[in-house]
Amino acid sequence: MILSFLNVFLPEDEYKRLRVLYFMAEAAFLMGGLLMLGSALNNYWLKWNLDSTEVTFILMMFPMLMVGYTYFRYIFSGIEHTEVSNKRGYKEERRVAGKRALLVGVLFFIIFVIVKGIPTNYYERIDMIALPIVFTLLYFLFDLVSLKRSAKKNNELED
Amino acid sequence: MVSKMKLARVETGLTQAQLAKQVNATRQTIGLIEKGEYNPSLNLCIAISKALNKTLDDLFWEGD
Repeated sequence: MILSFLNVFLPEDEYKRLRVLYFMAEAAFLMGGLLMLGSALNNYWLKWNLDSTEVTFILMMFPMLMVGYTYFRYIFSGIEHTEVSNKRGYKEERRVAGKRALLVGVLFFIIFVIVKGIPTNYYERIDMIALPIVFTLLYFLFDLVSLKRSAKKNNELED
Repeated sequence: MVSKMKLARVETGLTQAQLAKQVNATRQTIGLIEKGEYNPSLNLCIAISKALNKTLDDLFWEGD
């Protein structure tokens, strides 16, 4: 194995490792292109006059976009659940995905409470309940998409 | 075309999952190699050859 700090983020299986590495490289390449396009637009046309908060927001957006791109490519490539191919395995994994989503939702709720504090008005209370629910549902949905794509791919490769 | 690797695996009586476990890969990776959709590293080729008691030529050489 090639020594790199990236190994921390990469799966052990060599096919998955190569695919994830490609996704990360694609994300980095696209972000480089976006940054160049953005700076060209700013220089020759838009002439943005941004304050430090806006600059921080834009700078923070790029790593988020990179992670998002890699995550969605990973999900849609069907390489996450490598062993699922039959109905029984699919149902079992779906059950596990449901439990995982619930756990992640609870963690999200706890972190949300720690960061935001106890809600003091109606809108904050709605936020506190609705956001973790939406997050949990989206997490479960993406896990389900990944599971479906993986099962389809594995079915095509079965013995 | 059925790959030599798949024939050797079936001959040995191993499933894709069992072979994958022996060579520290996933079943999906074994399936992709058998279908010719992924070129494995030399290390993985050697591990597969050892697991199936074959030589690299037996499994991966396309000459004959």
